[in-house]
Amino acid sequence: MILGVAAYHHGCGAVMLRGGNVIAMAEEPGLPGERFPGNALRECFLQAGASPADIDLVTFAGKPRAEFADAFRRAPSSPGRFVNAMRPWLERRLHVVAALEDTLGHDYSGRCVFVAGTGDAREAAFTARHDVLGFPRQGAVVDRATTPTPSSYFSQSIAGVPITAPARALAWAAGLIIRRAGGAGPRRRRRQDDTVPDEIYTLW
Amino acid sequence: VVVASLDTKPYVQHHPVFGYRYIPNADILLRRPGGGRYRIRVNAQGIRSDREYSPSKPARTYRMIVLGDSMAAGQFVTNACRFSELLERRVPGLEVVNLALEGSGTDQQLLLYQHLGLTFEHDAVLLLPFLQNIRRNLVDARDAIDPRTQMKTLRPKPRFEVVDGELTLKNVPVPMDVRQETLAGAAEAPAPAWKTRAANLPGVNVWRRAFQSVIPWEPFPEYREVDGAAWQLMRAIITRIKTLAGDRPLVLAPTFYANYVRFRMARNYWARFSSLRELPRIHPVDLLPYFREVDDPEASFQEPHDIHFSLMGHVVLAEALQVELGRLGLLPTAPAGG
Repeated sequence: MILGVAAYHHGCGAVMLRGGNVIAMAEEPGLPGERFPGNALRECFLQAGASPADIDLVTFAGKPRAEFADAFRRAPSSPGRFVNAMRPWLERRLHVVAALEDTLGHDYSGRCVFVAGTGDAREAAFTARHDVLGFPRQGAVVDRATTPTPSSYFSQSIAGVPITAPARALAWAAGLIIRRAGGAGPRRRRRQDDTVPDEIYTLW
Repeated sequence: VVVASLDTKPYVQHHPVFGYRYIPNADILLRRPGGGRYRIRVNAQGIRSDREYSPSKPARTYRMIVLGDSMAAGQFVTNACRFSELLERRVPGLEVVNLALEGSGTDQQLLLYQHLGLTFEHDAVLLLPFLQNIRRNLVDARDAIDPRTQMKTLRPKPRFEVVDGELTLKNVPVPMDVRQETLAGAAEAPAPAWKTRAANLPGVNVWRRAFQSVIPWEPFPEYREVDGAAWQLMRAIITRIKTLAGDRPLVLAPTFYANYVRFRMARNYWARFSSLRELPRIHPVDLLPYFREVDDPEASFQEPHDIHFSLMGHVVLAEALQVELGRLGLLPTAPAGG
């Protein structure tokens, strides 16, 4: 089962696919400001009669880290404007996975891809189904000259848009300052047993 | 510690040669560690697959046989999300017959190829030895959990020995049932829970990374010794697989667990496997750089609370193999994308 999500500046909706068919779809329209589609997600799970544990893959419309790197390069140089330009990224947009984990709870086990160039949740889900999982084209798949490699949909690998070390350091520092100052933005939950001793793997 | 109660394998049955095999036509929905469900479907031939395979390959098809253990079999992943099926969907004209068997040693994989794989017309063999397999090859049985009683038991297996430079098969026919106390040296000692908790304390990873950048950790010292008995047995088994494969190429792609990606670990295993390149038509392939490139908590290529590849792991594995097999000229057409 694939869950498509469009959040913040990419929209506010969710869609759920099973076997290439849309089985649930919900949108949160009309409110001012960027929002994470928490209610739309819950509505989708209700419609589909599924739980977060049933999700094989979460696909996000857009690629926040690549977009942040781009926004950082284009940011105005005056300090006030720079802070205003960076604020939505550091407060919300870069933390979209944390927001998802907050919404889905502990059953969600962290398989996300980010689909650049997609307009909504539906397009992100169908494009990832084709490009990442290799299923035949079906539904609203983004047309590209060449199909990107599946791993280019992971957040770490940003084809053509490298995030420089200074940008990373600045984002981390600014994010820390905003959080300490009481800024919004969910924290990523650390999964239990993220690291386990080698003995577990080396049993007879 | 690793949600052992989930790993009862209710979908396998005893087999006199392989030790055990998938139950033909099994179709079971199972729990996944960390939550969720996955589905195992086995065809009438006893191969974990959604479809049957004809002995002769379809026209204009390049058919590859995959051998391996649970990492290649896709434990905790639905059939359609395994690297073999992903690879098939990405490469037109490629058919992958995945004979990998969970919990098996390379010895069992050799027997699977000999008795089952060779009944299928094919063009190449892909062997994915998990690093731990070098130890599995040495034992007559492995710890298991009986799905009926939920009790710990031993699952017997065949074993090879190198006698006068020749592989000799032992423990076949494999006994149906072995009491735990009758076999020595096969018991597993789980890692203490405190070690897992200690490994997750804040800052431990930083220290570990710093320490291992100076002295890489080697959890499998068997790979250090070129002349060691364990490696010599592994080498003999792989050589036998190649002999059975005849002129067909044998691709060797060792698999590992997440610590190899996150930390600097000793790479003696790669020195050993890559040395087999000297044998004709054996192609060792290093998968580690592909996983290091995409290492990210959000990509999560390993199942949480478990060592096996997640859906993401299979995506990376399929992509790595597509690139490497394409480089070796072992794919029917150019890669479908990038």
